Amino acid sequence: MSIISVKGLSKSYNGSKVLDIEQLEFNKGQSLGLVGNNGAGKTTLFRLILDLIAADTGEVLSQGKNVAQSEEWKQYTGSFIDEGFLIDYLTPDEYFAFIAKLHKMSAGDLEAVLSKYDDFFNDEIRGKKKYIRDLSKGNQKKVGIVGALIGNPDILILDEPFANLDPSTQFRLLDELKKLDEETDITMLISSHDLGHVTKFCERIVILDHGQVVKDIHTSEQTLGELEEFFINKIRSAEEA
Amino acid sequence: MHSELFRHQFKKIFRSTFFRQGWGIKILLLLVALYFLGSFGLLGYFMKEILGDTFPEADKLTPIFSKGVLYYFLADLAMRFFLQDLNVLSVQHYLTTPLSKKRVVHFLLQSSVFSFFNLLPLLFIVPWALRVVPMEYGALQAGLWFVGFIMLILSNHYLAIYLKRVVAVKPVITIGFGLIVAGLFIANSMDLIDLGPLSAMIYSPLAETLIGAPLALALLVLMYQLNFRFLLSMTHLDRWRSKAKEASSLRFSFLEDKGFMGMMIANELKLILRNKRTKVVVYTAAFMALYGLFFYTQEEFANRDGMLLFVSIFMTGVFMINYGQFLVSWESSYFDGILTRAYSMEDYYRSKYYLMVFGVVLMFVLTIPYVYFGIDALYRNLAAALYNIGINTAVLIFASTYNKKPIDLSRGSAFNYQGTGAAQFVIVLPLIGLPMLVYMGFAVFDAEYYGLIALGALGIIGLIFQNYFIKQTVLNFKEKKYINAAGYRQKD
Repeated sequence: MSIISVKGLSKSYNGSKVLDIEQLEFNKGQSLGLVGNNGAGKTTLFRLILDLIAADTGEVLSQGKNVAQSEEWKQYTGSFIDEGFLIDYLTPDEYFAFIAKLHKMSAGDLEAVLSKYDDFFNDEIRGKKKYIRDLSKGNQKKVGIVGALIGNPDILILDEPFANLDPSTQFRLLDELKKLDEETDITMLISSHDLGHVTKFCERIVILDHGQVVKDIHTSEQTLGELEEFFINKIRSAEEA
Repeated sequence: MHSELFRHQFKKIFRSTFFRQGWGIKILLLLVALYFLGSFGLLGYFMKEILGDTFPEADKLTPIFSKGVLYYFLADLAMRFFLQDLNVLSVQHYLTTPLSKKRVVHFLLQSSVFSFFNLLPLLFIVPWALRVVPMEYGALQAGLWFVGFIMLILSNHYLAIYLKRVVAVKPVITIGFGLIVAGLFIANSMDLIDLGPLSAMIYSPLAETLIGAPLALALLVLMYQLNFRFLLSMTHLDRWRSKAKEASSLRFSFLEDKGFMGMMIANELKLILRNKRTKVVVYTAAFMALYGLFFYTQEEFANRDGMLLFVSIFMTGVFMINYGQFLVSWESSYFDGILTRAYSMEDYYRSKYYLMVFGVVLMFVLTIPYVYFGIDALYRNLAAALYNIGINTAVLIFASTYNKKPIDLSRGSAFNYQGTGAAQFVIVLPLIGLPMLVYMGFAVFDAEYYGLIALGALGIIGLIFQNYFIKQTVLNFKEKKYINAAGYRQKD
């Protein structure tokens, strides 16, 4: 069953089309990896799904409702695109408490959720007298990702969550996302430049190229090779042209 | 090589966001600059006539001029201390290039000379050096006087930079410094001390002797070396960067426990108290509560009801206006987060509305002591506060949907016009002008009290319709939000 459907969606900047998708369905409970080179339209697609930019044509339906008209999706969608989501003059603890309150979670429930991420935080985030603006990029990202997970969202949208994280943390995040995928009914939309990471836990991979869906694959043993081949071929065809 | 670095500096200035601002604000700032340049220029040019008329029996005017110089230099030092900063980070990208550290530090110090504070005194000393000193002491001394004076100005410049970098780490010291300078001036004006003779003693040799100017040069070299050595010992990045301040433990838990609205307002209060530029809004508001004293204590204003009403609107509304002009822009750095978080925009705007109402109520309470000047002052403030709460808050939240300029909260506020457009000046007209018109409509028929009642009634009507205003604002916001979000994402 599809939880988000994208219909006839297009977006142009200064006359050049950056996104043009006829139809794309995101199934409930599925984890989807979005890959593509810079400028392929990944962030644009996420921003359209989150109603942060206006579509030129088409619409995004979340649980059957147009995201540009109804605000209901905000209740069950957790997202982190960039630091532009973080209230930077709060401490991480204050920020988490704020998000938890929005979802009417008790302090105890919040503590239960956050304690699961103690390893992920590596003792650099919680209980420190530091504002988010004074954290390193990587630690800001951790705050954003965990913030998106507070409130048990049905949909999780993360834009390049692995970038800027140190190797150990990347693997921890990978584990967390895998666990989340197995244990809950959450729908994940994750973009990444790391082909290895996305093939490890995403059931489905979509390749965007120049704003269009060029491949839509069910992940299998061969997927990583298939993806690598696609991007290598892109260089070759560019050289020949 | 040095000239190449200076060329970078000019590019930096002309490509800065200031020059990308709208024409309205550029013209306005230009007019302000011309006004000050013109008035100080005239004052500087006619200083000879002014002093000549004041002291007709004096045969030489330069000693009298010298008597005043110390006052200027002290005030100048204080001004520079508060407003001028040496931006060491602006050269950090040169540190990894093959330029020597000494060269980078020299460049940093030399380029700091291009400052408004070094331009201003020229308006006084150039005419004086041309029109007065040659007649009194001859051309050679005039040249020495002029050169020496420039040296002294630059010495002051480097002294201020040095003081600021070395001692101004704690706000206590900054405030203490301000108090000392203010104290000297007050003691002087109360005739406890007289800085005049001291000033004359220090600055007369510049015109009267040959060694004045070389001494000034020596002072400048000393000041420059002081800075140079200090900075050279600090060229490692970790010593330049200011340490991150420890997070405030002020939590507003009493508000956070009061449901959604309480939490939103607690967040706003944190925003205000934890960022430089918003803190200035609070200081301004506190200071402006005293604004009325200026009018109530002067005979010529104390009986002009219209003027006093203007003061009331301004005093009770100063926080609301200053904060409300940038209502949403304050949060521009995380606007995408606001658009995706689990609350409706209606609740979001309602929390802003309550914050402004809270601001007006607070200012009203602060201005209650004006009742000392008669019960009418209280009536005026009350009517103005009600009008501000009912009508002006609604105007401001609606206007905020048209603002799409980002604000970087971490930057200080002196001469900071980021996020300001002509709209910010225009909006003040109806906020203060409309209630004045309503009031004057009654006042011309000598029915001032009815004017106040009308303002209060309008305010109460506005309060009753607050939900309607907020709904209209949200409707308009939904139309504009994509444009605003795109504007806010534009970081400089």
